[in-house]
Amino acid sequence: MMKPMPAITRHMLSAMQGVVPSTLATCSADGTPNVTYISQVFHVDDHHVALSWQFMNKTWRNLSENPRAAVVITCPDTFSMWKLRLRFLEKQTEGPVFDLMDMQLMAIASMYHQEGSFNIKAALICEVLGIEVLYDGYNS
Amino acid sequence: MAVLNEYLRRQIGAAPTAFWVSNCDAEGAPDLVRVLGVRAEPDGEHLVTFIPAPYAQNLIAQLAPGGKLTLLHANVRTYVSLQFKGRCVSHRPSTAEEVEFQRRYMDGFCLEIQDQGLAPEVAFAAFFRQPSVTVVMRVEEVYEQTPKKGSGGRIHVE
Repeated sequence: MMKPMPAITRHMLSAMQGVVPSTLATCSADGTPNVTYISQVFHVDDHHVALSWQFMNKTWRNLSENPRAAVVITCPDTFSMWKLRLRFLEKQTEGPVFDLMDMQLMAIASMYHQEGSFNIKAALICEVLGIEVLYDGYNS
Repeated sequence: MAVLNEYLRRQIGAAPTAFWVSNCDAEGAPDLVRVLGVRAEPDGEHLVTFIPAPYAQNLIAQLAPGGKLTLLHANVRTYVSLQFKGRCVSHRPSTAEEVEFQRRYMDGFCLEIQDQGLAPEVAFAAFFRQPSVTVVMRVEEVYEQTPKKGSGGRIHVE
């Protein structure tokens, strides 16, 4: 029997609003990890997310060499945490996902009083390979 | 090998700072975990960090002497952020004294983030998990990670 594809749930969307920054890990071809905060993990559909590429040149280089990534997202109300295992698919510099992320990023920048300094270079589209519930704040 | 200067040591001890550790498995799949504080060793060459085991079974399974490790430092008030790259020297279960250090660190961190509208007791319940594993890391390189143009550059250390 085929294993069902992991799907993003409704609860997880609250952790994708950028209130608590998400943390992203990638790995270079020689096995050196890189870990960085990321402003946006954007819900594309229930099986794909887009990462905002702003400052993180090393992350981009790593994903070009090795498409595997992991990101932890956190709900600001319950502190529920999920770890998403990702595979990078493509970079988008225009289109509806890019435009929506650009708009959301402006809202996040405003929340942190960082208007003008948050510019998105690209949306990095990733397939969700796995989802692990690290902490279930709804039932704790 | 790198020797951390006074600035870097001060940044590690500055509050409120979040720390994350990352490593990779043999297939190149990265893993990461929020850790329960970091201490700089007096020799300036090593960092000691504390991994909550319930959140990091796979990451802990990949720990081995000489294995590559990366530690992210981020001050959530000033946004100053650094990345320490190096290698694992050793790992073992945390002692009672180290668990107390972790509790104090996480208490302080959670109280500080309430300024940002985040409930400290809820954060503590989520982040503070035991048992924990103490990891000694030898630092080889340090990178500027503060979100700004030109970020990502290597910081020269001896």
